[in-house]
Amino acid sequence: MIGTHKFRFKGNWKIQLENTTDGYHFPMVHKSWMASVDAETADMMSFMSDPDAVTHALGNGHSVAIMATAHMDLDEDDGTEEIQPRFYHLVDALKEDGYDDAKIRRIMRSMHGCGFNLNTFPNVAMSSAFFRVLIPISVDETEIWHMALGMDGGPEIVNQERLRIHEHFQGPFGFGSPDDAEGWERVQIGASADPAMPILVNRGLNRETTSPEGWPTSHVTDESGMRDAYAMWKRMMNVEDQL
Amino acid sequence: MTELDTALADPRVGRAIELIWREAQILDAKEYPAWEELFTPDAIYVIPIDQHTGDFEASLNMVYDDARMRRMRVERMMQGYAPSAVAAARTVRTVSRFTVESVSDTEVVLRSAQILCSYKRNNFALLGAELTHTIALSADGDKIAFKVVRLLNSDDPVSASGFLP
Repeated sequence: MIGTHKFRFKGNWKIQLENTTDGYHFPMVHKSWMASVDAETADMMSFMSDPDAVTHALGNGHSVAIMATAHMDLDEDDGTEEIQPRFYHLVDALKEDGYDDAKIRRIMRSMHGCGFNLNTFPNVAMSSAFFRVLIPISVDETEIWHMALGMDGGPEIVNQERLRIHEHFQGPFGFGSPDDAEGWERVQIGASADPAMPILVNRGLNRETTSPEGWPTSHVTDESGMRDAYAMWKRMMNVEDQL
Repeated sequence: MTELDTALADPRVGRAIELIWREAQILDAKEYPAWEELFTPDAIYVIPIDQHTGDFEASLNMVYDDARMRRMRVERMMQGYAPSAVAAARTVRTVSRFTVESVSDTEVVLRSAQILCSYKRNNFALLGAELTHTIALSADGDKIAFKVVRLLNSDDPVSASGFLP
């Protein structure tokens, strides 16, 4: 843990619960961030059209959304991924410090995080290279912590680059979080217009399959993860009915 | 010591304050391309989280902008893709309580207090901050060489707001 961003938005915590298992908001809400990163980074986020990018509902409200399949496991490296030119100075610095090529490649590939969002119900997610914690303040206000992850004992120069990458997207003045927060506040306002209106989370229901592990699975832009989370929430809120 | 010998009466300090006030007006007007022009090429604009750190590079900040990030930030604020920037709060700010940290013919370092009032969707919000500006003086035009914004609530939740302090 190398630093924490904290901010609040005026909306219910469940709006945020959806965020890390919501693939389809990314190209619209985060268009400005996409426009500001290099093509290689943008490619990593090309999950919209990648059929291998899937969401698994893990049960009890938990889910995993896999965006960058090539970054699922650091130990699996087919060697095709190229290090982005703007990080060459880090590679040179690590070489000078005596790191071997394999180690350098592993460190560089890890910089953008794990390639998936692991959502643990109800309020903690590991998203790419940071932890996200939701803290409900009231029914219509939520606090969010984005906790940046670095390498314990790893090279300081790379941990500093990880801080810069985290700052680029996250936090109250990042290129991503403010746009998320604006969207969530609008959702809260919109939802207040008709509190009895059903919330549709049926995207991908028609193409949901069951994985060999028994997990309901659909494309990462589908709502299998959200369905699992809301089902768990309803189950917990109705616990008295079951007694 | 006559009245005119006070540090704030130094014309070099006056130039620096004038630039800081111009910056404040430009930020309230959200004229970000003009704001970008106020900085030297190697200037850093930082909004730290840690209330006391001076080692911004090794810390997580809210903003740590060199020229490259500043360019992208201005682009983001202007291009119309970012809903938070398009629907940004209106702001008005005052910068005052100047104290002179150092002054030379090429550089002035000033500390000041900023009271920033923002308005959006029937809500006023107040954001207080301690500012430190390093102003590079030059016959070609004075520029901001370093700006640190220490928000009073930097280590507590800061709401995303679509404007720059």
